[in-house]
Amino acid sequence: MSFLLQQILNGAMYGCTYALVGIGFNLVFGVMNMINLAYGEVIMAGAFIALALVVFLDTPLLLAGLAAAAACAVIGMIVEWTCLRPIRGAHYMAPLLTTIGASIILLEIFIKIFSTEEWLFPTAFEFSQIKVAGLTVRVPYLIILGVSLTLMIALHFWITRTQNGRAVRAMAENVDAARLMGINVDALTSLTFALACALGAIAGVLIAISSSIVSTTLGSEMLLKGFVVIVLGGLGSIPGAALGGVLLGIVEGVTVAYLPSLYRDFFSFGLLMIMLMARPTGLMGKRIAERA
Amino acid sequence: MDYALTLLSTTGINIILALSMYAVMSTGQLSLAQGAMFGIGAYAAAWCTTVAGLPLWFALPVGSAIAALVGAALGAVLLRLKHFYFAIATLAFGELVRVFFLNFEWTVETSSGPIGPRGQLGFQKIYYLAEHGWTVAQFTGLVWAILAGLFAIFALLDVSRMGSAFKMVRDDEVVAAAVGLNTTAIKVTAFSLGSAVAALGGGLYAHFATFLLPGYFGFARSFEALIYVAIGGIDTFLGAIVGAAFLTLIPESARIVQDYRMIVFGLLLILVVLFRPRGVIDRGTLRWLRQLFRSRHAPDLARL
Amino acid sequence: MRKWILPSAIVAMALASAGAAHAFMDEGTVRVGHIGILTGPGVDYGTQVLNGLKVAQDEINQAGGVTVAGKKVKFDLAPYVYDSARNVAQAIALTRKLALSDKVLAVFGPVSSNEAVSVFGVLQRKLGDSVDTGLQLPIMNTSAMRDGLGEMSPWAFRNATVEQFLLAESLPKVIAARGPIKTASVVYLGSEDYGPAMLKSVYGPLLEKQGIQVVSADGVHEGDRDYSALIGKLMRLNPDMLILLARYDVGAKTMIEAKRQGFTPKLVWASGMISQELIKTGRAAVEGMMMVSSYDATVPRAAEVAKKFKVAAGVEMNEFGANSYEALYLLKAAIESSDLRNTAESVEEDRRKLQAALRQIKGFPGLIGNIDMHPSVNDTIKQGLVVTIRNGQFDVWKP
Repeated sequence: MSFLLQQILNGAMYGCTYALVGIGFNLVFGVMNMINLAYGEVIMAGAFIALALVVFLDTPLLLAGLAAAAACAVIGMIVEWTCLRPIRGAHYMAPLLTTIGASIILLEIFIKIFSTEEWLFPTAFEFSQIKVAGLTVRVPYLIILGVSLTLMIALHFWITRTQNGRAVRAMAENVDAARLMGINVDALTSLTFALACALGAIAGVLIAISSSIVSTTLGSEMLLKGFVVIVLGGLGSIPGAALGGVLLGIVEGVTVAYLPSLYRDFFSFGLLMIMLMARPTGLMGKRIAERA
Repeated sequence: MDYALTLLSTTGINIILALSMYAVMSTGQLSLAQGAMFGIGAYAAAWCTTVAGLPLWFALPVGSAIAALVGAALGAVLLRLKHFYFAIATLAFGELVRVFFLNFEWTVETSSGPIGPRGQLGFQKIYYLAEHGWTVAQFTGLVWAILAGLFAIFALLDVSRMGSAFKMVRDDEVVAAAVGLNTTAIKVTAFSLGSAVAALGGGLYAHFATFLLPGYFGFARSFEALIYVAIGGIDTFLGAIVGAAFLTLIPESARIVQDYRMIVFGLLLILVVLFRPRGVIDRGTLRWLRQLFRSRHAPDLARL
Repeated sequence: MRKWILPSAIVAMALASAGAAHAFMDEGTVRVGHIGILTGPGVDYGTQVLNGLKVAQDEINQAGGVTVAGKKVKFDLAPYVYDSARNVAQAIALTRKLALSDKVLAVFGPVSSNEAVSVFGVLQRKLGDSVDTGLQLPIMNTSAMRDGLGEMSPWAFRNATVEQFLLAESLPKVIAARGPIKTASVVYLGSEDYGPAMLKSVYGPLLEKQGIQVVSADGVHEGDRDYSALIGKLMRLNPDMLILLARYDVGAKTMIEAKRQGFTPKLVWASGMISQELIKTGRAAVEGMMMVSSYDATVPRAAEVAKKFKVAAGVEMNEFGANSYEALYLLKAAIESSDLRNTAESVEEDRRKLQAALRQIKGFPGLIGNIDMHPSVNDTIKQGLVVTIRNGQFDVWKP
């Protein structure tokens, strides 16, 4: 029993990284109805920028993480400005394609710098763990949990209490009405994008420090997980993404602990399909008319 | 010469893959399961010629039929989902198919060892072509003969009533339903057609490469199909042909940019979508082409 | 504009192949080609193979060259090195190009197992079979580890670390030294066929003979970062032996997590991950791991070659580079022991003679020991040695 609990605990804590990925995805998709497929590579970029700072410039981890978040915010704004803004109003596949293009370019650039090999992300707390109620809690996971919770609370606060946050919600409801009310839609779109990418970067750094080894393949893997999370949790719902991320982490962990690893994808994607067929809006998503 | 012919074969197979994506997109849906259907066709056709010892001309249609059935069933279940959800569902389906093939084993013992799909080991020894004396030229001919057939089918579809129904559903589903079209049935038909076409390409690929791995048919393959159509043009089957041909052959003629190939490709994708969102062969180009053909006749009063 | 790309490409290629119709002896070279991975994923293996060949080529040419038809000619790989970018269709197309347009005598490559299976699959399967339209071109692979590659075609050869031959002797000794070992767990990379293939045909039978039961087999995913559940499961199963069949990153991640949770089986055996990267990323966690290798960097001749390799490639040589270096010398030996004429007209005949000569390789001095071609399959039998990671280095293990 304690074995099961341990796996659930580990899965839930690691799943917070998935939650962050999903939240970042949802910020962009839920608000602007635009999909950013370069998001996975942004996450990878965040991890590697932090890695480079820590390994080559001896930067302390916290600073490196913040720098990575800032850098990725800028990358996000560039992507938004070049790949999404010019095609607003075009058919629904256009943003998919331009962001795929952006992801390809981003990936290539980082491969040129870092090649496809695996890099070590050294941390002081790699093997540290503490015992709580008979279960082992590893310090990297604790950091993931702490940082994720802080960010989620901060985001929630931003969206519900600040003026910008409320403006963004207004945009999500009805862009034209928001524009008419004097909201600077363009500026806020950039801001939301930047925010989402910063979140992604931090998710990337968290993943890197908890697994010690990163490679440039991190991006595509995270993109796929992101899809699963937002479908599970519900498109456009931030608490839904949080829930979906944690749920995915648990499902993955428990599946591997009891069955051959090969079944993990079977369960993740099976769950996904069932969710889509039974409740396409996800666990907490807004009701969307299915019949066009 | 065989080198050029091999390239032509590969291009042809990619065009077939692109056409399968076009078939689904012609009713306005985005499917990421084309890779999986390509794989189903590959495994099925290869199984027919190796384990069952059937001739190629039988194996290819069998593969297509199986995929068409799977497509119809899947479509019926999933096509009530809206665009993005449908795409994700097809993506999940594709991954499930991949997991299926990773565990699927059906072999027969022969003098040279087991033949047939062997789960994670893949499907080796698909030697039908060599064993029956097919030359590279003959295989290339087969691929392009099939392509010519598909070309005819898509051209006919384009001018038929079914084709108009497809276009109506693509352009505005609400209106289409309002005028009495059974939009779900139409979308399922298109999806089934796309699956059958993809499977045809897969069957050809299997015999070309002699070796299959489940990993060859994941979402990367589906994205490949998507990009051929997206760049070539999403409004006409000519777009799929142009896109696949161009993108398969360009790396060959641009050896100098090999090292930066992916960056060039990504830039191309962005630029094409920014400046020609519906692909290289979009409605404007179509109109221009049509006028080119009509310039000999009397002035055309029916504007497109 | 786009309409002209295809026709002009075909015309260009036809012209290029037309220019190849003059005698090779006049060029002063023997034509050999290489299908490598020069860009994209797998390029680290591609670099090893390419540079192993280059170092050997420079040495051979400096020492005068290869003796063909009574004269000394040089190897000149450069014009015939092509990049498949690990794309199977490309590899097949390029093989045909090398065979039919470039008219090379032999080809080295392809680098990855997947490509190798497909490329070997388009070769002629039985010598002299007139119905079989497969290519008739000697191909030597130096990097694919998938078993069975040496049996696919009489034209397909391999000078690689073929574990199925090396393990039969080494593994039992190691097990006896670390034993008693009754159970084993296997961890492999699920997205490649290398692991399952090795498990099924090599490790499975070997373990069974040793009376060891395989209690779990897990195929991890390419991008997996978190191994906590996997190791948790293994700790519960508590096998005596852990077998890792994958690239170094899977090995490193598994061992780091094992160290974290305190999973310490009696023996950790690995395949497919002999590289400095394993030690660099795994650090203390990979101490004590054992594997079999056909390359020992401490042997004097190997050390010399390794130095030249480092200069040429910028990275340390590993067994892939070593196998490739040997392969060019193997080809040289085969060329010199056959009666080749080396002209454009005699290419097919020369290839047949070369194929026969390659089959006859016996007692060839490799980097760390003698090399023989296996009596019934086209794999070379090399000297194997067991290595272990000791103090951050690969060290030869003795029982």
